Amino acid sequence: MARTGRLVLTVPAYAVLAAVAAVAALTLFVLSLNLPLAGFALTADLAVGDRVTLVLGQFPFVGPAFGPLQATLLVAVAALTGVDVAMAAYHFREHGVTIREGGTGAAGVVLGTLGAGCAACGSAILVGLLSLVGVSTSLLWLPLDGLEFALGALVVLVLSVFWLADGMRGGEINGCPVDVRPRV
Amino acid sequence: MNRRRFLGSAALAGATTLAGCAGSGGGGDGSDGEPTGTPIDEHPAAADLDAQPMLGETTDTVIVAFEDPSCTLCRRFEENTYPRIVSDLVEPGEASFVYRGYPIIYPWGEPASAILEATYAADADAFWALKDRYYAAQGDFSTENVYEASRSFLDTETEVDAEAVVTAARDGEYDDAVALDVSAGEALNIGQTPEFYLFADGVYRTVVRGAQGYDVFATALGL
Repeated sequence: MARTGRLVLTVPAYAVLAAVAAVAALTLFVLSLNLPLAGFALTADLAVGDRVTLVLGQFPFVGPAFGPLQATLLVAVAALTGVDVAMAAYHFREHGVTIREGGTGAAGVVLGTLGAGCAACGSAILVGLLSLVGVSTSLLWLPLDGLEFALGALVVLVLSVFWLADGMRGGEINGCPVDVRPRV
Repeated sequence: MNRRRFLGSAALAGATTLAGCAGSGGGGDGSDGEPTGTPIDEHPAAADLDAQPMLGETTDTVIVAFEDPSCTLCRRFEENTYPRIVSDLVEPGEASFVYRGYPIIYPWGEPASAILEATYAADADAFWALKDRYYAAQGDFSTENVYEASRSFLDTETEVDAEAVVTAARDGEYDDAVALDVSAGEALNIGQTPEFYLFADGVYRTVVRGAQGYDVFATALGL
């Protein structure tokens, strides 16, 4: 799986796609948590520098909104999303796979995006989720204060990358054969 | 279970989670809350503002904070951003900071909010001290010990009659004051803490969610 990912990223166009997708995912994650402020930053009568300050302040490791572990997980989820998007795009374009056949990878990306968006929220955001299903807002049963969502997103993305790599087995990526070990 | 079915089920769970996220935010952007430009005395976040704990003199530029003493994100805000808001905005008279208790995270946040209200009724300085204590020692508080631990702090670190304050809170005398803040938050559809409503020149500007940095607050307020 890791080798397949590395092979895809050795193609410059897909490396750029992975980077763009990762940055886009991270931007989506953090701005979606503060949509009114994002809207204010983009539409209010502000200097360009102020707009940049408001937007950049939302990102992990720039502002204090995320703790170190939360920020690391969020960046990891975004990076893995980038790799997943690049691998899915490669699979679709270079191997002639249809959306239907590659649906698992696409679903994984979507799911990862959903999960990662919530992963950024921390414990507080779970209140909304819990109230939706009529559960007490107590979070005592979540030992990681909501980081469970980030970890869940990571698991799903790893599964998606794994299945994409599995689907690419037997083909070639950037001129190199993909591992052809028999399925277990 | 095949992987397509697995991902389908997982996607459903993810969508539910997203719904939780999407549904948890408060209003304030003009789409689901009060629009930018609403006068402060007409905005739900500032309902009964005179009765709320406020640091600072100005009522034109105000940060109204909805916080839960048990909320870890609130603690991060209190540790990283609040001190600079006080030193750089409140003390120079640039802005005021209003605290509203919105106990929705851990169970001990509810009695803690009532104790805060009771403390504020007795002495404003003691209120701010107790509020700081809750965040500084958040891990030390629980549903089981919140009354006793609060009483002990108030008794040793403030001038208030700690026993009377805690007894009043325990007897429910300040539940209505907590309910007032909760009602204000519910009117704004707040589903997470901390959440801050920013007013400048007497009108609403925007809402800030989470433990944002000082620069975000100062910039959004135009300071």
